[in-house]
Amino acid sequence: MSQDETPSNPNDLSRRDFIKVGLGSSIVAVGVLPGCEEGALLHEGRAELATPLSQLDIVLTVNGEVVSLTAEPRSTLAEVLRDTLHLTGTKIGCDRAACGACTVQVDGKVMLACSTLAVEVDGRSVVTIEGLSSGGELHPLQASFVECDALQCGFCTPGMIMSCKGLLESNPAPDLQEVKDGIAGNLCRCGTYPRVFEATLQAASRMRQRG
Amino acid sequence: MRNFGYVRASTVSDVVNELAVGGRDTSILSGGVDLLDLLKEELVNPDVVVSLSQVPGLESVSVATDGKTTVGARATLASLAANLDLQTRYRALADAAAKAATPQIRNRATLGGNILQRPRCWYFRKQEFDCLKKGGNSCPGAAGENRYLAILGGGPCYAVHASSLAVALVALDASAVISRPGGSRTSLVKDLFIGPSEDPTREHRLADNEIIVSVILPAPKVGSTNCYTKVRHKEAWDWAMAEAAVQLVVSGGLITDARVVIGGVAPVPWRSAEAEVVLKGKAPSATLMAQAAEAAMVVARPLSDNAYKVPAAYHVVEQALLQATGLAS
Amino acid sequence: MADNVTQAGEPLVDRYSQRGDRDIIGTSVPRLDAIAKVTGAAKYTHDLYPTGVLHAVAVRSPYASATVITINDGVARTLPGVVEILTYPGKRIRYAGEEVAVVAAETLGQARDGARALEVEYEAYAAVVNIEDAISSGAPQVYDTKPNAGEPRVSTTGDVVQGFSQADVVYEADYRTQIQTHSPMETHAAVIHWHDFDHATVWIATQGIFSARDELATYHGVPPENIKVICDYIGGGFGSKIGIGTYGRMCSDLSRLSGRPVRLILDRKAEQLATGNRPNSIQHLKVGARSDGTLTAIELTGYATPGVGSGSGFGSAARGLYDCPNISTTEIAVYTNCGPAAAMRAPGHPQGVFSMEAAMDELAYELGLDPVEIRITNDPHKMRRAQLRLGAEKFGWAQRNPVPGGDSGPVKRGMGVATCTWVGGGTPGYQVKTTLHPDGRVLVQTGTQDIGTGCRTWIGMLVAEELGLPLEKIQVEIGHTDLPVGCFAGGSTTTPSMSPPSRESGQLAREALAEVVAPVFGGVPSQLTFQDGLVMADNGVSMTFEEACSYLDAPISLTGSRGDIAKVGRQISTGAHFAEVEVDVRTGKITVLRVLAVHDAGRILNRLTAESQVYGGVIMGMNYALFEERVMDVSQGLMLNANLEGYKIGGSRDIPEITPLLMDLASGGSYVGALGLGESPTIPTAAAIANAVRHAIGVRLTEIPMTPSRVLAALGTINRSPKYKMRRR
Repeated sequence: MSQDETPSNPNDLSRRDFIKVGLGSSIVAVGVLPGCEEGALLHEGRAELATPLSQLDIVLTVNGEVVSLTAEPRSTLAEVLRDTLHLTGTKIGCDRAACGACTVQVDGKVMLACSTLAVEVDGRSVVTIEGLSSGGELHPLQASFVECDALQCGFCTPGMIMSCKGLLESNPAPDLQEVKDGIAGNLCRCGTYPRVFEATLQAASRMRQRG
Repeated sequence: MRNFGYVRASTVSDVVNELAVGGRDTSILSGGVDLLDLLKEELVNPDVVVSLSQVPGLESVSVATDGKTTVGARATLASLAANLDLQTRYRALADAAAKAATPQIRNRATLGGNILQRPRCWYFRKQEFDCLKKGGNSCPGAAGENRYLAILGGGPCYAVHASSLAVALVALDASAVISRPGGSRTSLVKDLFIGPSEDPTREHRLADNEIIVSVILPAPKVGSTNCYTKVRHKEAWDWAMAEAAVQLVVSGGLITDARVVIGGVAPVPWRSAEAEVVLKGKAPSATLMAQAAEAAMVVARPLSDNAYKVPAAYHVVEQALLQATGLAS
Repeated sequence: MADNVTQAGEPLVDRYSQRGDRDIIGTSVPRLDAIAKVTGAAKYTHDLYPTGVLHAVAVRSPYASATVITINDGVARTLPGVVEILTYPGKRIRYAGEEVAVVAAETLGQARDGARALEVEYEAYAAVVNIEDAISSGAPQVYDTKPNAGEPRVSTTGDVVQGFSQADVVYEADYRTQIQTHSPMETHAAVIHWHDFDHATVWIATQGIFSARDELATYHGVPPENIKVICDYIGGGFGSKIGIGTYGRMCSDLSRLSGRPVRLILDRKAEQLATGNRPNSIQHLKVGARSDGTLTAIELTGYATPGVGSGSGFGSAARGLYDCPNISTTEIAVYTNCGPAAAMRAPGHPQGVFSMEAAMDELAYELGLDPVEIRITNDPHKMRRAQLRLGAEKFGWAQRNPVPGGDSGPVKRGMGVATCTWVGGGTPGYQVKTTLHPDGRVLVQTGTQDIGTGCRTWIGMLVAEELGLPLEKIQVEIGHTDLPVGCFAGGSTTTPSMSPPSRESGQLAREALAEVVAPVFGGVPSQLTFQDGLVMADNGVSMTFEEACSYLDAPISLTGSRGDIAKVGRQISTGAHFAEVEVDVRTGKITVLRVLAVHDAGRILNRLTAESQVYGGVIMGMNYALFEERVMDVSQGLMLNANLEGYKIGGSRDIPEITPLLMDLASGGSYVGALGLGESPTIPTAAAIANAVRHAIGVRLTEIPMTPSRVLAALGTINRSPKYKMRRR
């Protein structure tokens, strides 16, 4: 948004220091106003302005491990996962939130890593496809995808499985239509959807039996 | 995407103050789904992006004692779709949220961001085209590939408003609570939107230093019912060919109040006075709903390639009215 | 099964197994690489970051026709991280999206910043992006040296004038099909490292590692053996990843100049604009038949645009789908200022079948014949006649409403049928090497690549079958040019080309091992049986396969190169699709309810992946019928939907119930008897859906995609005059 007011020099703005809270939870706090009422939406009076940051220290949990890194504000989560952490199971198919190849879980919810800035997951927990089979045992979804041939070229597969995982965690007993709804944001150009439906229903059934 | 400075606000007043800084372009980041699209296409190139992610209190959905429901601007579409109060009392909103976008986007996209997202017009979204929305002199879309453009209220720009939630909110007579330097103001959601004849470069009336912090849904009146319907070309991840949200109050067997809002067909969530007039004071019937839908389309002015939106809009209005009144077969 | 005959009409002899039942071939076996794919461990070209890699970003022309006058890279070179910039001043640009420069930098962000900082001055010209404009008089010429409209390609059999005079009924109509883009999930990508000025390792998402190697070697003037191409995994291609493309050459140049590995990954927009597409078509088709449905004449004329490229035919269906004594086709390729066409899954066929099969239905309706029967009457292939009968029975064809458009209510159902022919021509000349190790390991190697079809797995299955081993005992290595030469992935040729040498290498390995261990049994090698992981003699004495291998002093390698692939007659793969749709006449929206896809692909090697191919083909065909369409703005010559949002591809909720029905008759002309299945399943789907829509609403749509707008216009609900009028030559 462009401003109509008289421009002022950003360098003259009062500077606020980075506050390191510690590992785990939110560690970058910019613009925190001490003494604010928790939960209040509005505050009277002038708040100090924050200094916009161009390099950001980010700490996040990826597949259960705490990871610290530095990123530009514009870096997407997908870019950081792939280019920095080399967790390349998360794919970039469109980079515009239209194909789902970059689907990961953030704090348990499926999201698109291409359309999430890395800094916005600071302090959060990310699960990628690489986090599903730690210890060498396949997740039931992965096992069913293998068994049912729910993949062809395989490029959409990690994102597809992450969406199915998110679905089964919120709905352990989906019907066919609910499976279709759950992966409505995942594009497979090879067209292996019928297999994905079958695999997801099979995995759901096995996971329920296993308890 | 160009680089930008990043500020993580802690309070709403932080945000408002950041917006008030002159000499720089500042963008607000809520869910970021639309903002990232705009940044990647370099249609917006802010100096500073202010994140709302650590501003507390913006994500809740709460019912007040007087029966109103307040929805925080950062409530995600998924949380709206799953909210029991919305599902029972404001079904149109819950359904609009549930039928928007994809599961991944609904987990990230927020109420405020959805209302204020920029249109999807493919001429606007391409840097290579000059257009009214980008401050240019003409609309390349109207005489060009106009299949997704407006049939109602278009001109000089014909880009369609993209928000499904806005359609429901206008039908539900919702108000937005807007923070600005020194305080806040309230506006009916329907009054937030600007048609292109007034200013094609923007879709809403928020000042540059204002943000929406919440939306208030008034307590439904006795006998009121609401409904949302949508039709799209493709069932998985597609924008609406047309969508409609309606709220009717039926008292003594007659429709005493009607709000009929159509989306996907106009530069603003389109409230159809023509349909509402037909409905008011009449007893609900299938024939009446068809007449109302027909009245809504009397003012439609399709372009060369979007006439299909007229029957589509007719259909969603008729279906929403039938479903709202339990007349749907 | 239906007919126990091959397509050539001979009695079927199962030439495969001399020892009786097959253990693995023909069963459903999960892919060898499935675990790598479901865990994210599979490394695609996108996923490679060699040490010291530079990221490259291309600058592409925003003009459809222009000359690059100057490129000022002064600012860009000063930016942090920018290492190398190549510019192409003076280049004549013929479509928007053509490359004008490329920037390599330490990070992707820095490369993008560098690309943005280049100042490019263009001289822009008027452009033409559709056929109608391109063939009008005074149209801007795409190429200075040749007219936009190419020489008509004419093919004539018999005498159509005479043929039409013999007809009792003649049906003619105009048809249009759209431009479809490949849109593979993995965009085109190369990671190239010139270790010195003469030797390179190339990782590239390609359907042909050897052709990529040779193309690059020629470009740089180095011997092919100096270049090693690797493609372990590729995220789809559908025909668009056969050459190395300009991106491959730019990437290679950047690495050769900088001495560092360079990574060039196309973004989705570039993929949509510059890497290929299925050409559109504007067809006029006239078909005559006698009152019993027998065809007397077929005449097809029309245009198609391959953009700035070549290869836009659509007449194969008119020429070859049905028996007809008098056929004439005239196809004219028209240059436009659009990205070049590329082979796309059954090039030319879906567009031709769409018109031909529409005409067959209209003749049937006109003559009061059943659409299935009129096809059987004219079908030259015994196999497909059987497929039509079988499919009709399985699909419940007899239950369809006898009156087209006869359903009451606003949502109308219809059924349609359409057929296909694909000559899945395998070629000889490829090798597969099987190595047996003394510790019992079996390694199978060949330089082909698996684009998602599952060849990695069935290559292993063929060897496993010969050695009597379960598949998990076989390790398969593909995708490297230092392996024996394998087939490129295109035209459904991999299966017919690679299955004989695969089987033969396993057979030779078995025979070689039998020679070694026969003395242990005190018998003759030929009497040893390899089955269930055992090597057995007639007298019941056996040892495990591993034990047998322990008699080897050193690894032995056997190369299969068998290429006894029969000519065309035994390489024809036929199919028939049956579709049921629902059309909501209030909104014009079509929902495909179910598709039955009957196919003959010879012997089925892996039922699981074969059926997956059919699913994929049907879904791509459905998307072609209903959704996909490249949309160009005429005023500036730009693609409006160069993404995966506006370029519509159906997703999970659009998928109908699909039933693959594979004949599995070993009808292919090789000693394995297998044919390819990549192309056929996508050919007839759109036509079958269009015919089902015709049956549902009683009106013919002659243009795809069948959008709500077109359905409503066909129904007369809305007025929708065509934007462009075709001028007849």
